Formats: sequence, C-alpha cells, structure tokens
Amino acid sequence: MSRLKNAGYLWAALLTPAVALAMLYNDSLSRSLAAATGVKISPRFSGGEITRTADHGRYLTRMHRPVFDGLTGERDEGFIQVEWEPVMPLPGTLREELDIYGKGEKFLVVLNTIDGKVCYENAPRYVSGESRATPFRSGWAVRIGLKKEEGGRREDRPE
Amino acid sequence: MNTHRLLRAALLSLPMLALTAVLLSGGRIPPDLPHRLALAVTYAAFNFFFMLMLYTGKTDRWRAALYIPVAVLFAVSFMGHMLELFSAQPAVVDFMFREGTPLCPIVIPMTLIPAALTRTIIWPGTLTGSYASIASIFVIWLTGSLALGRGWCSWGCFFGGWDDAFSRVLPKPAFKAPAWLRNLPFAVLILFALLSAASLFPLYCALTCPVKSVTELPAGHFVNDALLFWVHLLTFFSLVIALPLLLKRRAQCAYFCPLGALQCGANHLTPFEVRVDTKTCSGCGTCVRNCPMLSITEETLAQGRSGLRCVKCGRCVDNCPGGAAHFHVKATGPGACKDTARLLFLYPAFLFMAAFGGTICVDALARLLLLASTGRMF
Repeated sequence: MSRLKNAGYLWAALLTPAVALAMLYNDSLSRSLAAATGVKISPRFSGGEITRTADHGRYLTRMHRPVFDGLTGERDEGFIQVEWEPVMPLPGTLREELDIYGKGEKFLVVLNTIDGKVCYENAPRYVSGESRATPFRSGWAVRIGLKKEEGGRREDRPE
Repeated sequence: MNTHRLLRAALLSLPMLALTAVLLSGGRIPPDLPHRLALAVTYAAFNFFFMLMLYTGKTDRWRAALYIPVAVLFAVSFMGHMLELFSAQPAVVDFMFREGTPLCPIVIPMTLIPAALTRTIIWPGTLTGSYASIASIFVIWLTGSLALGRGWCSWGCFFGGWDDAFSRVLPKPAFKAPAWLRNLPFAVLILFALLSAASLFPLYCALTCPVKSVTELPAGHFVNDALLFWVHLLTFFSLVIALPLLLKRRAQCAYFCPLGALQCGANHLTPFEVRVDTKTCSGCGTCVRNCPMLSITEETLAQGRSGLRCVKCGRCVDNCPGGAAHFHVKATGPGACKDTARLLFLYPAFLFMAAFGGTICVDALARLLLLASTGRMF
C-alpha cells in the first residue's frame, strides 16, 4: 500500500516538469508528432498534391491532382484545384487549357478575376457544372467539380 | 495577515515564478515595448493569483480570476491573428482554402476518425510551424489531458471562461436543469464525430459552435453564411449567456461541448481527482448545488466521488463548509494529506494555464496596447 501510495505521489509530482517541458518544447514535439504519425492536411482542404506547374510569364498556374478522397474509399464526386499565382498583376480574365487525365480531352477554364465567375469551354462529361473560385494567397484558386465516370476512374489518372 | 502563511505561500510559489518566467517569455525578452509590458502584466497577474490560491486555500475563486480574462483576451488574440491572416489576402477567402487557419481544440474530436482512417486532418491549417498549428494544438491537448484529465475544461480551454463568468452572475439559479441534459454532450460528440467523418468536414465548427461568435463568424461558402451567422449567435446567446445565467451552470461546457465529453474519458488518465470524505461530509448538498458541470450528484456523493464530468475547478472544494470535498491523488488512499494533493494538482494545473492561456494574454494585451498607440492590431 505504501509503495502504491508513493507511486501515486511520484506520478503526480512528475506531471509538473512534464507540463513545463511539453509546453517549452511544444514546437519540436509537434514536429515529432507530425512526423511520427505521418498525417497530412486532408486534400479536401489542401487541394491535394500539385501535379503540374505552367509558367505563363505574367503568372504561374498550378494544377493539383483530382481529389475524390472519401473516408474509406473514393467518392463519386470530387474536384480538381487550379491556382493562379501572379508574377505581375493578373489580367481581368484568365484562360487555362486543361487536360485533367492526359487523354487529350482538353477544355478551357475561364476565370473572371473581377467577380470570380468561372465558365468552361468544351468541358468533357466528367466535369460537373459546379465550381468554387476564391482569392487565394496573392492570386486565385478554382475548384472544378468532377464526376467519377469513365474518364474519372483511378486507373485512368496519371501516376 | 498571517505572516507564516504568507511566507509559506511565497516559498511554495517560487518554482512557479521561475517556470512561468521561462514559459511566458519563451526564454527571451520581447524586443518591442507593447509585448514587454504585456509580458510583465501577465506574469505579475498570474503569479499574484497563484500566490493567493496558496495563501487563502481557495482554488476556484482565484482560478476564475485568471480563467475568465483568458477567455476574453483569447477572443482579442484570435481575432487579431485572423485579421493578420486575412490582411495578406485581397479578399475574404473561402474556408476550404484558408491554409494556416489556427486549430481550435474543440475541433479535435471531429478530426480523430478521419485521421485514423485516412491519415489526414480535416482542417484548413498547417501541420507545424505556425500560430496554433495542428500538431502544436494536439501536443497541448495531449499534455493537458494526461496531466489534468477533464481539468482541461477549467484550466486550459480558452472558451470556458465565458459561460463560467455568466454562471456566476446571479446569486441563485432561476430554474433547475433536467438531469438528462448531462448526457447531451456525449450525444453531440457521437453525432458530430460521425457526421464530420462522413462529410470530411468539421461540421460542429461550421454549423453550430457557439463560441465561434467570439472568434470569427463567417464560415465560408458553406450552406448559407447569413443563416449560419444567426445560428452561431443564437447558440452563443442561449448556451453561453442565457442558460449559464439562469441555471448557474456552465451550460455550453456541461450540455453541449463535444470536446468536454471526450475529456470525461481523459479523467481516467490523470492522477488527480476531487473526492468527498464521506466520514466528514454532513450531507448538506452544497457541492451538488454548486457544481457548475452537474458532475457531483447525490449518487456520486454517496460514493465519495465527484463524478466523471468533474473539471477540477475546485468550486465544491472552496464551498464545502466541513472541508469534506478535497483534491486527491489516485492510489494514495483515503488518509492521504489533502494539502499535498492540492499542491501537487495546482502546480501542473496552474503551469498549464499560465503557459497556454498566459501566452494568449501576452499576445492579446500587446495587440490592445498596439491598437491604443497606433490604431492597428498587428
């Protein structure tokens, strides 16, 4: 009983230095925690990994991978995030040709940087009409809604 | 003034004086005057109230004197950071794209299932290296949970001070809350954890969180911003102001907070608990009436325990007329020294509050000083 009692007090007493050390070394501990768990920001927020960057002189365009990620598998609906980063002030209209799965199904995304309206030209079937445009960093980002059809299956996507 | 007690309190405060100096300053004196002043005021206030805890033997009274200002100053600090974050943007950014958004600990229960299954965090923040980055908040939460259990809700959470403050305004409750409400947070936890996992979106935060009213109201283009604005205000008014006033309980924390429900489990991890000595207890029911979380009931009282929902605020300990309610270290038996147990609890609890809440206070006070002198918050 006495040993147990001492263990209880020791456990309690150790918490003061433990709290002090954890708060003092929060930065390095948080880096270790992130590295040990291997977690990342959900692609539904980060947009997923960037697969291609195009330099247009006045601005850069970054294309992320298509995101269909669900809790346990893939969802039927997803999106692809495209970002424009200005090198010089962005023009009023941005036109970007995309070929999401590299199968020659090219289409044009047109973004109005004044009002944030997005439209498509020659959009393939797997591009749903939905889009989300927002000011992002110093430029703009658009999420183009995708449907998982023939063109949207995992095996058709670039590695 | 009792000189012996004062000397004892001063001596016992010495370790905290040293540790809080290091933790609040991060080991360096801030280069600018507003931060230096803010640091000095925060350091002095925290240690003054800690000394009062030791000198008077009262816990909750002085804890609240720190805890409530931390909640108010958190709102200032957080909004300052959000303004700073948004100032780098040409316009308001959709929530889904807001990289670098500070992580609120209340979101943690919503992130656990997706983190376990997809190894991703459903929050538009950064993992490390920024203000309230995801991993740093997880480290703080794990530290608080292991050290204090649900004491997190009384010594760490920077939102709890709001309903804690309103629960103290009226001398008597206007009406009694139904007992079944005590289980509501568990339902809220399960519901929103599952919904958030299914949608991969922190739905509690986006849809209902009452304390969002004191940080940032626009939720981004999700459902309907105008509707959500009113929902957040309504939940804030009802759960953080009206119900705590009328019930004299911390209604948001006791009836609605999913993190609070999760922290009940953490009470098994900490060595500290509040017990009631059944031999000296007169059965007056003061602790039952005063418990802000409805944790102590007639049933738990009969067992000499404070219940699963105990936040270790010390209100029952302060108010017990016979001194039967006391802090206790698990495994030390019923005859253990109450003063030693209280001191062993107060050290890590106060240190956690000073390191977590104190740094928030320094930031907020510095921003307010800057605002007063220059008209800007960052």
